[in-house]
Amino acid sequence: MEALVREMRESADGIGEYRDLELSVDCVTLGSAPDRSIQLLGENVLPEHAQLELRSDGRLRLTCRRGGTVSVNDEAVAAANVASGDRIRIGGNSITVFEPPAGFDAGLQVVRDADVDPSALERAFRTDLDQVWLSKRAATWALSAAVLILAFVLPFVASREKLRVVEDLPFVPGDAAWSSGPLFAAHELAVGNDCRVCHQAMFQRVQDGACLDCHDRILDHVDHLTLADSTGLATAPRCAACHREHNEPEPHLIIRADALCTDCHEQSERLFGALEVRPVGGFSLETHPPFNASLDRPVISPAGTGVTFDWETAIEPIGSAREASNLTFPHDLHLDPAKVTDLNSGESLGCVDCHRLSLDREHFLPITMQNACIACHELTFDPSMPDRQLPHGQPLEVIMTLEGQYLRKFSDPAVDNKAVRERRIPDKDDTTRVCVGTAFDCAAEAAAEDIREQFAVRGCVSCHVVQEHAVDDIYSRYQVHPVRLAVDYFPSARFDHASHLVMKDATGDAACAACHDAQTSSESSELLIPDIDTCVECHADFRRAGSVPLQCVDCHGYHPLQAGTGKRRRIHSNEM
Amino acid sequence: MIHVGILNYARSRYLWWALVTIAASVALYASQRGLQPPNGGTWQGYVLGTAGALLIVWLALLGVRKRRYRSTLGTVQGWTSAHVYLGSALLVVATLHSAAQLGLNVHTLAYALLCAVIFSGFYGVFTYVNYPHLINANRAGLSRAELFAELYELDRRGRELAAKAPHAVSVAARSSIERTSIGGGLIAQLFGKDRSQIIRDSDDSGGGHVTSNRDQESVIQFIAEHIPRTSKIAEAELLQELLAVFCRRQAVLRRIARDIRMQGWLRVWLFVHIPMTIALLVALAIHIVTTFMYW
Repeated sequence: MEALVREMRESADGIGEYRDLELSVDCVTLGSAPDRSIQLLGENVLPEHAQLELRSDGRLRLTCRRGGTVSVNDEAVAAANVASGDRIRIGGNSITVFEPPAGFDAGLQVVRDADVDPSALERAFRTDLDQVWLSKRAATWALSAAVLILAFVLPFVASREKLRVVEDLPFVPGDAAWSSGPLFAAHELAVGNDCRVCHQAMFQRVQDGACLDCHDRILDHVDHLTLADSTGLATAPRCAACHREHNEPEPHLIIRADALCTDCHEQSERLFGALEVRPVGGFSLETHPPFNASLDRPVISPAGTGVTFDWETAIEPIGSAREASNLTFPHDLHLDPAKVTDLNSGESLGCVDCHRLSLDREHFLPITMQNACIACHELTFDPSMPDRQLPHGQPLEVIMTLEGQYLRKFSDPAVDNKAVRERRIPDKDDTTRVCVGTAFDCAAEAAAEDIREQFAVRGCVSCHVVQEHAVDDIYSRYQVHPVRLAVDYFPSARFDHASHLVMKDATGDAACAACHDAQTSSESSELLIPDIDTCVECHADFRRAGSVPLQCVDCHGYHPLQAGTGKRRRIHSNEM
Repeated sequence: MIHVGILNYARSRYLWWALVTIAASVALYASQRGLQPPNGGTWQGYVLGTAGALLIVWLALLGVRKRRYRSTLGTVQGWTSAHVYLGSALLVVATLHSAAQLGLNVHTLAYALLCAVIFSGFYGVFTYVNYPHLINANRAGLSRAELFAELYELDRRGRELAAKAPHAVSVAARSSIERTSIGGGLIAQLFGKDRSQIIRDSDDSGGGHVTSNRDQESVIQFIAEHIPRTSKIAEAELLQELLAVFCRRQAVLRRIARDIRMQGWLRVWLFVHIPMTIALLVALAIHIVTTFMYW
């Protein structure tokens, strides 16, 4: 369209004059932008405010852009047909439509808003971040809503039993999103992402029942009744008070800190009252009490013509404790290469010849006649029958074996009767005695002498305690006291013998001897267990030069492996 | 000047507050020994967490305090100074509370949002300290309104002179005014990308093509090239004057573009800082609630 734009302006000399501008455009654009056909400034003028276009019927059509206001003859319109004489107002500017001269489609007389400062030109441009798509308010709402939905609403819905199916939907976070850290690997394997296995009630700490659902065999450090009756501690701490989950990957579920023990045991006199537990503040001569050994003590009671044995456990300080195993065994003799050597190899005996470590690396396999002694100490009793041995551990059978042996000798016609009847008197080389009675009487006499020899002089009594009762019945006369070797001197503690077989300046038997002074021990009643002063030569409860740090849990466990461990208990001999 | 005042306010009183807060937090963290590793669930962790949560809420209240013009509860400058220093200390408090136990969970989400808020705040302090004098130097004592007013007058004068100039120059000059790009969208404002264009006629017979007029270089070069070709003194003088108008216009446009760019960088961090702050408050509430829901 062809438009004539007429504008009254003051010339340099102050006289007003019309200036005409001829426009040849598709449509006349109005607004504050520099590229508008007619650039108008003002507070309410948009960069692209409105446009005038020539319709096919020759009329002018005014269209206002959304967000702007325009009035025709003082009447606000969004769009309107305009004709000569109409006055269009945009902001403080007015455009009057006049009859166009020949050759023009429209005549427009512009009167600009005199009050508008030229700086209003800035409004034609987007010069502020508030004018771009960025919106603090929208971003705030969007971000906050996203956080609320993803971090709380969806996990909460997923945590409801009936709505748990939501958790299976892709990209929907479950209540595992509330976990403050990974689970202990074994727990994760067992419960996966099911938080409710442990967190059974909301806003409630994890209760012991949740732990005991699986760990049903775990024992309390001190049972609740003892705790309530004997100490000032009313209740045991919750499992989770010590075993704190979600702190992985560091292995913190099993607490190793000494504070686990010393927080209470350092004040044991005040806290434990009647339990009389010695205070422990660490592992040194000053902070840890000397060791007490757990020893089996025989309780002997008369029974018939003899005695019967019960056993009870006694806790005694190592410094004064004595063994009562009923075994006679001089360690010094067996470890002296000048006196005892292996029959096969000819070498001196070592610790491992008798003491064989069990698979738990702490205890030793039981020492028996068969696995430790018989190789050297054969139980032969008749030089004429060197392969025949007395049955070990069966006194009655021993007596009957000897009786049978002599009966056969005295009654067997093939045996040289004279030689049999002339018997050497024990310990008297030059004296012989001749039995002149019946074969049975002679056999009984000879057997009785040999039985006494075996039990009371040089046989069983060499290693065992044999009690001779004043009875005529030969079968009830000798009673061998049962041997009971200690299995565990410290049932409340752990000790890794295997790792101590190599120490800083000793290995093998020398390592054993560093703690167990067996080479000078002549009495089996001597307790060869070291006290704390031996341990602290190498260990301390803190890291210092020349020592290996030792924590409480290296030797002690919080949860006892069996109820009542460490307490006095009675064991009947039938249990042996 | 506020940008200096927020750091030096009251002899940097809140710097010392922040240092004391950091020292106390480190001491508290270091005291975590015994049965647990340092984490947010020890009593020290709860103290650090509570302190951090209260700090977050108080720091967010700066937005409220700024709008309470009648409030006598300290000065906005003092609040802002404390906001900067204690907000920085919060990074230490929160990190020690978390004990660096991070993972894909709502607790780390809160920590991540907190870091985003604080680091965007660090950038904000950087701009508040450095940009104001750069902006003043760029404007040479003028306001942006005055720059636009001058531009408007230069445009008007340029159009008048262009109307009298040879057709090709007239088209080039008018089109360069009409197609001058100032500001624009987010990227254009922050990086000052000039999309100005010009319509250049190859001769006076019409038929032009649109090319870039970045930094108004094309129109100035176009006018300058036409001056030696003129045979009339009056026309040469007209073109000289037109050239002077466009050179001045180029200088004004450069100042405006730099002003828009620096003002943009001065404010853009708030579009991260504020939404993230509110989202952090939401995440903080979730962090606290879920911690005790699954205690």
